[in-house]
Amino acid sequence: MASADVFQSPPAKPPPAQQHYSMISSSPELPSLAEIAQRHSKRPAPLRSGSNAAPIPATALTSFTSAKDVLRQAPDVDIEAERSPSPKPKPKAVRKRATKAQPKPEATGAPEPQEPIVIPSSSPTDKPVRKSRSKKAESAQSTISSRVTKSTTTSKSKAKKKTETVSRHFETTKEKGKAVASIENPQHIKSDIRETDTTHAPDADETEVSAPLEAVMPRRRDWTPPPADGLENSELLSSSSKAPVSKEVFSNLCQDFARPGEKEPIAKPSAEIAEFMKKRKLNDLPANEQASRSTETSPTKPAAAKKKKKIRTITELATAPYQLPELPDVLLAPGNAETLLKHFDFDGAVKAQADHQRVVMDYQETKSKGKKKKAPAKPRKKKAGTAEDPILLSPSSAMKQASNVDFLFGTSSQLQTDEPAEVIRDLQAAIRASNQVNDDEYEDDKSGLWHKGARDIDGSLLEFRIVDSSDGVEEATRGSPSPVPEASPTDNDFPDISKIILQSQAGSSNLPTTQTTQSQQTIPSSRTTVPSSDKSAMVPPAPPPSRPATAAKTKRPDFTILTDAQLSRKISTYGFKPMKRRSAMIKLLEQCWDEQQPANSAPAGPATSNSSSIVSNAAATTAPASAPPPIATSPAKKPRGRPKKETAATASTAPVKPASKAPESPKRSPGRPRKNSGSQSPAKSKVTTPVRRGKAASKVTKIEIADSDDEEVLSVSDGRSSPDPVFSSPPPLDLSISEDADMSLNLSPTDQESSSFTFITKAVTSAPRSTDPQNPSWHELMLMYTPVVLEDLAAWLNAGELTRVGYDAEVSPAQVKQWCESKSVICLWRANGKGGSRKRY
Amino acid sequence: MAVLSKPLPALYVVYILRRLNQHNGVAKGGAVRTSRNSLRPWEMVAVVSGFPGKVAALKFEWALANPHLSLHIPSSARITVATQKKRNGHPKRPPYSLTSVISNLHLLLRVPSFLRWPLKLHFFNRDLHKAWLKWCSTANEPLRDTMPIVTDFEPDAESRVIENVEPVAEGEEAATPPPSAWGIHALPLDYAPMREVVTKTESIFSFEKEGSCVVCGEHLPTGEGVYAACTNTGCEGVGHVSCWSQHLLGPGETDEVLPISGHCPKCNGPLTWGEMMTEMTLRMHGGKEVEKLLKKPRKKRAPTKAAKAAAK
Repeated sequence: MASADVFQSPPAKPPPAQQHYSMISSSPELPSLAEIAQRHSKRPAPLRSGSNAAPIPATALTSFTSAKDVLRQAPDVDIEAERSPSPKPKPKAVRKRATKAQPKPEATGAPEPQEPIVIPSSSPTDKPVRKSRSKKAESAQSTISSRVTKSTTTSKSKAKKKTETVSRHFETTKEKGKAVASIENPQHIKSDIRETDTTHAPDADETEVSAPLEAVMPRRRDWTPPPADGLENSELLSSSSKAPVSKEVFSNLCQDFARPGEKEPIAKPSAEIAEFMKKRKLNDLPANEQASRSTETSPTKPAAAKKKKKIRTITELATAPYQLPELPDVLLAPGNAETLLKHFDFDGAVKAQADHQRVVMDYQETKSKGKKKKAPAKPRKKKAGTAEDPILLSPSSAMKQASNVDFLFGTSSQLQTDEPAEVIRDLQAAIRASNQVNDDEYEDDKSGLWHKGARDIDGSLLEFRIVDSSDGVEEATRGSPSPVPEASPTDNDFPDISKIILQSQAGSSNLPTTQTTQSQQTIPSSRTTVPSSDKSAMVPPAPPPSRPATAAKTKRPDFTILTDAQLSRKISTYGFKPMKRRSAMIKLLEQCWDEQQPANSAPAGPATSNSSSIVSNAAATTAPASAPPPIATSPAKKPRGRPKKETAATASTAPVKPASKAPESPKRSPGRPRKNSGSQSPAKSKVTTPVRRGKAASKVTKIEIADSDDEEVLSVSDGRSSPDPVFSSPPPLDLSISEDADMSLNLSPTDQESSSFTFITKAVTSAPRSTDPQNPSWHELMLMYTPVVLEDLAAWLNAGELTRVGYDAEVSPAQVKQWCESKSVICLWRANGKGGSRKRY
Repeated sequence: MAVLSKPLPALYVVYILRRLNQHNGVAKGGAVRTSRNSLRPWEMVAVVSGFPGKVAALKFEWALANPHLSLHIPSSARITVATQKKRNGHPKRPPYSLTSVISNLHLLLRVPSFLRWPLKLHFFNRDLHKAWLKWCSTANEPLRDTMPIVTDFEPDAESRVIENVEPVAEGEEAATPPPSAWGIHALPLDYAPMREVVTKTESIFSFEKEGSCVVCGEHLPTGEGVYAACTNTGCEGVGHVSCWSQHLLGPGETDEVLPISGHCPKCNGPLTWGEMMTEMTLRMHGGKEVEKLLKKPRKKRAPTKAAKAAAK
């Protein structure tokens, strides 16, 4: 029995093919073996003792019991494993040893107690002890197994020479493997191994615990190994290759495998399942080895840790590629990979030989294996256009893609009954095609960073853009090729961020070409939903086909198609603060668009392209959208959306502002005038922009709409410089329209205050004195040092007192507070900071 | 319309006596910071009194404790500027010093938010008072001349070294309270000082002798308005509160609402708006207090109580 186990672990390196067979065969049959092992309960004790005696073997035992755990735990343990092995394997510094020496350490490490166990199980004839053990397994064991055991016994004697603590199983396995190879053909060996494995595997289980092994198998089956893990591991391995470490690790790994517990379970899987097992084992084995290495005492704990590391969440999945460099070192030592390969795959066996020479070979193998495992996932991803990491999107790009997703709304029944998605898409595409006339393709082409680069280097791109904006003809010419790329903004978007960065560095000249190439490449993918499906997690396939609007002309894009995120982004590019109301945003964008068009023609042409890639992208995405562009509802309407907010925010201020609420001015408008009034208000000639914030003044370069200081504007850092020229013309226009009213407010805050204060004072003091001592007037209350409730006072003032005095406006509680404080009147808010209201004063 | 149901407090600082006792370990509780015996005893070196109520007192206290944050201090006049931030991101107040506290106190008494409050400044420590005077001389803007500043030093005139300054709205210093009442312990805790005035106004209004407004001359129907009375002894001048305020503000302060002080048009005696309001609110809302106050003279308890309290 034990001999079989030995086979699996040790053979792995020298004769990988044989080992692989053994491994496969052993795994499936484990439960039966376990039962057998239970019969042989006698063995476990000696094994344990033996393992305990030798430091490494002790680990092996623990790993054995924990082998299941170890398999899953593998990633966590790795670190420890790497560390621990280094000291132990010192003698095994050379790689050559790893391949060949591995058997040696096993042999050396394998103390007598283990050997006897194996031998008896396999062949009763060899030794008396063996005979006793073999009695149980006699029925199961075949003549082949007996042969194997014999060979192992002989080899063991040789192996004993080695001083290391490696378990005897390894020795036996190697020896067995050699012996078998020499004696029999590989086929025979395979069959033999299977038999032996089945028989022997239980022995190992017996030694430790039969139950865990059984439990493990079902888990493995149930556990559909996440392809990502495999990929990561493979990648990791590939990425990090350390020759010395690998040697040590490898030797240690072999030893660990040699341990009866681990090897047996590994061996159990049948050759039939080999493929599955290979993948799984690749993942599992390293873990086992690592676990065994790490520490005998705490196999279970590391297992848990390993489990944690496995990718279970989207975030982990997303971050995994970035973690690769770290993980490979820790998780999978090169040695592990090698061992795994050898054990499992024929390929691994072939490669293993090369591996012996070089760890690099191992990495390649691991990669290949990883590819196999991940094959379904990765190749698609690669197709998608992003190279290896495409899966993970930056937040912004993810947002873009998410925004591009098309949604169908309806009841479940409707959705079910409706025609297939393709039909719907076709319909939408047709609708869009009809609408495309209005759309702007060219902007997309020129979009953002690309254009910047182009602009910087060549005037040609600039010309491009100008032509695009002004002339539909040229656009049309390009339209045939371009529409497709534009049509699939999602694809472009996907690579955009990363590519843009890289490309920007590369140079502007390259950019245009790259775009075209990418777009072309992407196009097919977009049209065929399949490629999109690769990305499916992030981006739904639907959008790309729909968007390929061919007609990109100067006409205004349909902003209604844009998602809220896109709208807000576009707004930010224009220097406006984000708005909550979609309708308001659309209106604002339309207005901006209208205003920008003329401006763009002359100076802005290049600038616009540079100004905001986002905008252009958004426009591109939006333009193709099916809905006919709603002709801009009058810009004047736009302000309304915001004004409402403003009004809501401050009731008192409302009367003054209502005339025109600038779309730009956010809720804060009431507050601003005060601030501005003190310092800036009079100075700034430009009505809207300067007033808004002090920052605006400081940042000359910024768009006049300094208000946009908000995060979004900042996000478009690149756009900053460029937007100025482009938007310089439009923003003032917008501001002028909307903010004129605001300006008046802002310009004279101090004056307003002073005037309003005098009126308030007059209103308060001129109010008729009360005739009821219990109900004094506001003036009397103030004279009595009674705290004044600002809200009430403001309401009272706005209820007609101010108009009575001749002040034709309302006052906000905040203004009333300022007045009170200027007069030393004790005041307080009805609503305290916590939102409650005062009942006593 | 929120109506203050309570009269202006006689001495809002009262609670400080309890706190002082806690600092000195006489009373239970108190701050750990001041519980070290090496720092005891704590002495009150200065007090700002006259707050018309809790809201006002808390506002002033917070402003004095957060001179780097208070919005009552115009940015141009701010003395204490936070240069560091606390862990929560809020600006950190620079450490206290005697000068910083005095300067900020001086500033706050000049700030529009508190300028017209009926505040009164008490100094119980000579050294502190010297520092105050020194600062007043250097300050670029003087306090309003109507700000009453009272000093009540230790009788023995022993010069004590200021060991530590930890002022809140009221400063506290380490020293030994002498047996005789002085300093904060001599402050009147109740309306006893107002007894005479209260008695006078009580008689006026109880017997409906309001007459006509001293200012506008209109007849003052009993119980049909808020009437204030002159606080000078022997003067029975009564008038509308608004009339009084207009009179006391005078032509130069038409934009102001709260008068500070002035002279009675009838007796030409000095008037303090805080005192008038205290009397008026006491009359309007402090029925119990008035009753209590008026009973005391008969039993002659009031002074003794004050003395006892001071003795503590």
